[in-house]
Amino acid sequence: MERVISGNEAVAYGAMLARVQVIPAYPISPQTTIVEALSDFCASGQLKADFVKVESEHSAMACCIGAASAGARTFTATSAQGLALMHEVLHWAAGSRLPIVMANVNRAMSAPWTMWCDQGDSLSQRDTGWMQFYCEDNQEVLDSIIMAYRLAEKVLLPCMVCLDGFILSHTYEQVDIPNLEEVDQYLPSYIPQFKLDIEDPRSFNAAFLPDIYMEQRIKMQGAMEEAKMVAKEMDQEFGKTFGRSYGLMEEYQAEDADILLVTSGTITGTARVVVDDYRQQGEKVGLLKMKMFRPFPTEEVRRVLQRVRKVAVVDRNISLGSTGIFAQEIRSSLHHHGEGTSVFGFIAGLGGRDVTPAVLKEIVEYAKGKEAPEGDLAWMGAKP
Amino acid sequence: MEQKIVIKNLKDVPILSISLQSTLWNKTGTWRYLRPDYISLKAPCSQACPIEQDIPFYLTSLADGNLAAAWQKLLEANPFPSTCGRVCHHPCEEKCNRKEYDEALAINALERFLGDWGLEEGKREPQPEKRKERIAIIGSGPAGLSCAYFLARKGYGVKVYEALNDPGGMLRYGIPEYRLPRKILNKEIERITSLGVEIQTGKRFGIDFGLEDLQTYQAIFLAPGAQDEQKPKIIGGDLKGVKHGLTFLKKIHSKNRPYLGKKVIVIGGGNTAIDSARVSWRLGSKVTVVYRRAKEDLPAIPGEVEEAVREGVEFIFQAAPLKIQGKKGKVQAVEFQKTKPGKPDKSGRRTPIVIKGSTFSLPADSVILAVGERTDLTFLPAEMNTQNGMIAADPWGRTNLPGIFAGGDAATGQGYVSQAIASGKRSALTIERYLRREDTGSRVNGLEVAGFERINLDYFTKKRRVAFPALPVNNRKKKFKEVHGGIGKLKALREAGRCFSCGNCVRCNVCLMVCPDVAIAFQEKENGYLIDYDHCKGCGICAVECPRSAMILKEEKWNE
Repeated sequence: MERVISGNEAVAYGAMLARVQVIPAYPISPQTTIVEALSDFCASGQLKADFVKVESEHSAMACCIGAASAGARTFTATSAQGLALMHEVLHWAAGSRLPIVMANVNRAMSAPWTMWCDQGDSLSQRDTGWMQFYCEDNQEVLDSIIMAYRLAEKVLLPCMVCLDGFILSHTYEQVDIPNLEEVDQYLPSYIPQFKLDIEDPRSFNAAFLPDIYMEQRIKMQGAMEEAKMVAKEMDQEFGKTFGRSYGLMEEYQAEDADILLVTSGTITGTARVVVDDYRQQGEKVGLLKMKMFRPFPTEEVRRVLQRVRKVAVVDRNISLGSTGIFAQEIRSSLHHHGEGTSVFGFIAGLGGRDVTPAVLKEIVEYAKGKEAPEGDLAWMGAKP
Repeated sequence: MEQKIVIKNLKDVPILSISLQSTLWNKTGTWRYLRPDYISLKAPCSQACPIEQDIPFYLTSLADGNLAAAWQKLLEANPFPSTCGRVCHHPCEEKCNRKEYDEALAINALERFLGDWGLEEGKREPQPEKRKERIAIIGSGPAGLSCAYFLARKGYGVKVYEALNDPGGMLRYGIPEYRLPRKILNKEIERITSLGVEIQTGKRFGIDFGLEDLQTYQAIFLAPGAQDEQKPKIIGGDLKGVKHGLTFLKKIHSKNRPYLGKKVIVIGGGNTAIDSARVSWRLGSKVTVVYRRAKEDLPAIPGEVEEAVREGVEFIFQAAPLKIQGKKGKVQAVEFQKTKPGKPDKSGRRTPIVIKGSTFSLPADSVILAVGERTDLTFLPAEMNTQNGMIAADPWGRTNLPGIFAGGDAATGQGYVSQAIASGKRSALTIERYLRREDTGSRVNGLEVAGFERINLDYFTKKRRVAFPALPVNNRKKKFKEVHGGIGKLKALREAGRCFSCGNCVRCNVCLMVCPDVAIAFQEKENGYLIDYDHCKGCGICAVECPRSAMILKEEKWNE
């Protein structure tokens, strides 16, 4: 069924089609309309789930942990400071190996007060043991929620699906809403391996002494590695069922590119137009769209970038005191493997500033004009 | 018990921290330095009760709807629940912790409900195994009958001698019918005699018989009460129309109900004065009570004073009678002088002193003098010690003569019904110890009181105190109908459910549910549950959360 819906509605439809059972949530702009749509679905009976009103995001995630521990398919959504407030319990969710799925509507972190888009919120949570996906459009948002459950329940790690605040969350696009029967086939009911069960009482999350904690982390890392493979298979299968697939990342005009833009989120859509413009003028500019950020598809990225001379990474985020976070990951994936590749790091679009085709062209021109980057980062679209 | 699992290979490590078997092998109790345990503290209401009734103990059963158990527990403490439920001054409610939160529990009404329920059901206590020792009791008032009851329950043979024609003492002759219906009193006394207590009426000790006639008894309890009215010397005190409170009340009991004229003046401020005033009002007179001290000094039960005011009895405070004026030998008016508080006396109360030149006069057709009662000591054996116009006895009822004990108004000077019952109860225990040749010395209940600060209010919600019905004022004159009604079962159960049960475990399961180590088991003990000290880490959550302070945390003494 084709409908024109916002990114936040796409999230809500995704969760409904995934037949989530428990939704503990706390509203925060620009995520609020997700929660509103889901509570409407619950109220109307379209979705048979327990909607739990909580008093904070910390409680929302704590409640997710409880529900997921009891074996329920669990969903929540948040943004920015709300996500930051969850930080402590994000670790608990991952360490407890609970396949919780959460939508994060990307919003810049305060202070100063802001509510516009950048990736500073979700990327601050990169080491919590959550898988992370970044979406380009509303269709991908909906599809990613469904895929995230299948992946999370297979590898037993929680998964965050990120969408750009306002640019996707409040923008309406034509979206194909899959029918429930097909989703049911793609995503069967969740049968937990372990759950709170009075018939089989067990102690959960008791202390691990130094003689065993490290092994548990080895297993989590193993699950992250496994997730890359599983995600690929699931994406392919999703394609077979629904006619759409995304990969862990997507190459666009990358085959013979001299300069390759690396983007994530909605900047990708703009970048496609810029690449097309350059191609029309016969310039070999290409694009690598990063969808999966955690686990980071190091091998796959390396394979693409090894053959390119100049890579221009566009980061809508900054690790203050270091560089853009995608740039860090990409440089590190090439270490010892891509001596011939120069990685240019660009910071653009922080706090909701538009990343226009002109900004991306400036980035390409910058890379064209230099043999190698002068520093680890360059600010783009900033006041002189 | 299973042994500890030792994990040696990566593949054996579970993907999350989850127990693979019971962890009972891990005796986490050894980590403990604090040890929780169940305790019983004294509830403030029980502390305030002269009869030392364990009030939460029976209210818990009542709240559970187990009326029979509640009644049984109540009767173990008090032979007169229906009576006390009507006439007790209920200091328990004054001290109720709930008072600090919303409103005091209606303990008095609940006692009455349970007592009346027992009477309606015709409940009887089991007959005790008889013992050979016999005790004689002088006086069938609340002290005498209470002592008789507690001794009879232990199987002792008891005979009670009563000077008047019916048993009950002040309960019958001093308290008017509208406060305590005779039907109720008779039934409560009948329940006592059903235990084998014999009551001989119309036999006055010291006149009809003496100590020498009681040789066959192993112990004697003297509880003659304070029946002897103080008759103040006052000019005009011999005029027709001057009456004395207690004598007047006794006449009412004998159904001889005279009209006292349009205007009655009652002089005094104790319960006899208020009772006399309200009886006079019921007989059709306009009544004024004159008391020489201030309103807050009134020794009468405040609730009774309130009802008197509601009925239209007028009060004049700080005025003392100077003389009663008459005409043709009959009362016509009373002359008073205003007073002001003087120096405090031994009891700390300020003795009123008259203000010169403040004389005023009130017209009266009758005057009732009700300024106190005392004990007639003339019947006592010469060798018995007396003190302050009373028999000299300690709180345990021991006099200077072995085998002879005394209690009630005649020995304690305390005027409330519950105090008399308490005195009889304490003396019964002393007598039992005496008969068993045990130490009759003082007994101290050392339990700490669970004050309001020890109640965990997080576990309680505010609830209104039960309301109980009172007869409309214009219906009160007929037949001396009982003023206050009782409450029904539903209301009683709900009201009992308001009880905090201060310092007493009611098995609410809070400790059990909050224990993070599941170290408290359902198995019930005398109070509380079974604590698994092998695994209790002594975190103390149970004791801190306990809504009613029925748990304690003590330092663990591992070395002892």
